[in-house]
Amino acid sequence: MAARSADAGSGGARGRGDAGMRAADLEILDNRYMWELVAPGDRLFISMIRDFVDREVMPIRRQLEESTRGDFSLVREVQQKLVRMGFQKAFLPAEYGGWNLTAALTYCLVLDEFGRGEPACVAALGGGAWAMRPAVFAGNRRVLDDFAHRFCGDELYVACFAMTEPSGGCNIENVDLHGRGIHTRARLEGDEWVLDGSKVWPTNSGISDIYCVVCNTDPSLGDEGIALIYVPVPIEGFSFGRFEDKAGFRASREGDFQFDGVRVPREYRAAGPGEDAELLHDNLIFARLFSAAWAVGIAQGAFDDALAFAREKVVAGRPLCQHSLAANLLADMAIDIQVGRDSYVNAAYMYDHPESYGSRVSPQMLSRSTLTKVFCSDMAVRVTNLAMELMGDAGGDASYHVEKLWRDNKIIQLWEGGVQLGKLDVARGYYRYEQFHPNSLYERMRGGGSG
Amino acid sequence: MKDQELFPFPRGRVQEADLSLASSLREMMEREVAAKRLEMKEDYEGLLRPALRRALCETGLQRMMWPQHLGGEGHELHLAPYTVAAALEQLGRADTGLAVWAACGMSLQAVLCGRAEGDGLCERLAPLFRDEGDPLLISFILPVYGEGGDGALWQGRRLQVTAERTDKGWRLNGKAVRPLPGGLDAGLFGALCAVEGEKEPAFLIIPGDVQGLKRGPRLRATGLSACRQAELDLDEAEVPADACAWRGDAETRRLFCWYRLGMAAAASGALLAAHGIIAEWGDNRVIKGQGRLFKNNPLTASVMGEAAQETAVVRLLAYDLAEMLAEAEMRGEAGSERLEAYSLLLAHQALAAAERVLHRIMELMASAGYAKEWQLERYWRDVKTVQCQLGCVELARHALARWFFGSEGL
Ligand SMILES: Cc1cc2nc3c(=O)[nH]c(=O)nc-3n(C[C@H](O)[C@H](O)[C@H](O)COP(=O)(O)OP(=O)(O)OC[C@H]3O[C@@H](n4cnc5c(N)ncnc54)[C@H](O)[C@@H]3O)c2cc1C
Repeated sequence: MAARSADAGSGGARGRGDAGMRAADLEILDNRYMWELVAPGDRLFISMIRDFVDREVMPIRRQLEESTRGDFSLVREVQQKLVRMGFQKAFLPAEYGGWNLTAALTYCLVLDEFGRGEPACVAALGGGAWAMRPAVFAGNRRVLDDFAHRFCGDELYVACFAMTEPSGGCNIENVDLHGRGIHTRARLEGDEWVLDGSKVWPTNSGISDIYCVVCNTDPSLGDEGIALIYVPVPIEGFSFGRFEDKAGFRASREGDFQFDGVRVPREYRAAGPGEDAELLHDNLIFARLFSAAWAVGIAQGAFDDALAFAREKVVAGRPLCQHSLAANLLADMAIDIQVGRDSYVNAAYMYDHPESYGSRVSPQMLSRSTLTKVFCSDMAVRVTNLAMELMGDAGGDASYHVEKLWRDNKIIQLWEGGVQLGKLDVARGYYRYEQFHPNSLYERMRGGGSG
Repeated sequence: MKDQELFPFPRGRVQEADLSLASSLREMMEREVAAKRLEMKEDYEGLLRPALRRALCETGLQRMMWPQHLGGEGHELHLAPYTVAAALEQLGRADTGLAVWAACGMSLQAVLCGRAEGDGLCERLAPLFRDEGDPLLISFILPVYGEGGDGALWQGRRLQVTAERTDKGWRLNGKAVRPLPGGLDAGLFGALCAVEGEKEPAFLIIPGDVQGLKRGPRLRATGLSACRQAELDLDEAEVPADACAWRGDAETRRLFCWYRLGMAAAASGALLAAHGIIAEWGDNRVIKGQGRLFKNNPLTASVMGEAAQETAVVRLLAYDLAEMLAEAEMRGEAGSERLEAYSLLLAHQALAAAERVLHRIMELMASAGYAKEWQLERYWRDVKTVQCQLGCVELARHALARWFFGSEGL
């Protein structure tokens, strides 16, 4: 049956396994982006990951999702292999045993690779880099002294960036709200922070060993009240609710949890008033960049699979890919993917080079990173849709991978500002957009009760 | 206001009986499906089967068009398209898969009962359609794009089953045959078969328990969990001579028209359900800042408006198709090429719009839209699956180019 066993095939179609691939094909694949933009040390890491995805993920990607209906054991096996490769500690400074890997572009290219294979299974490890980043950037020695070594061991050590709350994720991300949307409270009692509040949806909920909690010390302080506080678990007062059952992205785990008078040392705050807000915004900008790349990877995976299918499927006397109609669809996908990739590569490079492109935390950078995130995640929705369409009935068949990638991708569009707030953040780069700009007509209508 | 009245439809053309059938189906499905949705995920056999039985057998949908003298309800064929639209919309509102099953059953009834001359087949099948204990699930084995096997073609598509005449009837063969909407549970298959040594294909009715028919393991799909998919192998399966329901293209086209009406109605139902979900979200979610309810935020309200706009259009498209099937004198017979082209156009348009709306609504609900708990994601997956089953939209456009412009050689 055509391309049903495309696991190896489509992996190979991109990697080294496909003997039938001509040199010209390979050239195009290897020139997907400008290697000059990547630091030489990081290039090796990226090709290692590419190889890992081809070898360890592609052949079992369907089983990985199946494993999430059971005990996740296969997902953990893959994660464990990544730990052994050193992926888990890569983000740490060298003095703490890590590889100093902080460049956003490198993370983006890594997630682009995972995206085409099994996007979600890497979340347990990626969560570490994301959640611990504020401590690394702030140079918080206490947090790093206490926890860095745990990321360097042979066992999975999972971290979670806990921001979203039951009343909404966007209310926290919205820079116009200056932390007023954060309900989780932190109060200083002696030398300890005491945390109360609840979170929903953070990646790695319930499986994490440490949480970076986005909270507020005093909403009246605005950005100064925003705090990022590390909470290792188990700890008294922390309770986990239940895992979410979702449409896709199933190899990553989300759920809800509660802080009820949880106490941690005062040094577990990432930095301090004002700086924590900056670190939060920085982390969100970083996340928008890697989300864009993740989506591009997913679109790439869908393209690879659709192409493998179209190569093998013979319709009306010739392979599907030799029909102009199919070639046209495949070209639409390729255009979208390449433009998306160019967009995130540029944005991530700019983010990594503040000396040339200005502060990493600025309305311009927020706009630039969101622009690429919105474009790439919308694009991946289009591309996965087109891939399903090209494959007809087989597009919805779970023995192929396209339908899974279609499901997996959707969440990238929804998280990190969603569609609407995302666009407002893009606008902020071009003029001083304020969501709560005074509206005299609205005030009059409210005050006067007229209409 | 109930969504039945909220979104426009050609009220004057729909019989009172259809409206009351729709209302009772809605109540029944609220009880049988909506209320049990989460448990159903765990126990399809146990819970969806009774819901299907109630929907198809108890309400009489399963035998609606069947002649009265054979135990059916004898519903007049020129009125039935509206009944199908109204009823399937309510089934689709509860579960797209239920509507899809009903659509297959009703399409086959419509074509079998609409044939000029009756024969032994209707009589033989009658007990199955009037069975009140077990729903009769019907799947179609239709021509597919792509080549393989002996490669007998129908309008450029491969016929999946080959039929050979024997003394007693027909001998059937086919490997990895893929019935729609699902091969695992279907009790009866309708297959457009290549006939050995003859040019014209034959539409044969194949009982699910015929010897030589082997079902493969369950295949997972994006959605339509009610329609469990499995491939079939037909290895020298024998069916009697009167299993041939028709020869020639007209009836096959007619079947497609009715089937597409069912798909459009199912999509309309899915959007009515989604409307309920986003309405609840819009009434309760607060966007911070000015403390505005979600539905009052200018940006999100505009997307909600867009969703309502497209929902209304999908509903009108479904009823438009019903009207075309009902009023043959206006736009031609259901078996005509013209109506087949129109039905293709309307069904694809309805499904594409439905898919778009569900994407948009999910975007409005962000994580909640993606979570199984809120149910929206189920309609999103189901509608996408129906869209895939309708076939590649680009190829449908070729068919439309053939009809509207006389394009050749595509
Ligand atoms: C698989 C998965 C992984 C996740 N991982 C994490 C994680 O690691 N950490 C974490 O903290 N969270 C995580 N989340 C949560 C995610 O980041 C949030 O869902 C997201 O921020 C949106 O929040 P929400 O779902 O509460 O929707 P809401 O905030 O309620 O937003 C709903 C809709 O309203 C729109 N909207 C919001 N504000 C405005 C406005 N001011 N004006 C106009 N429109 C607006 C949005 O665009 C969106 O469409 C994850 C979710 C999933 C499903």
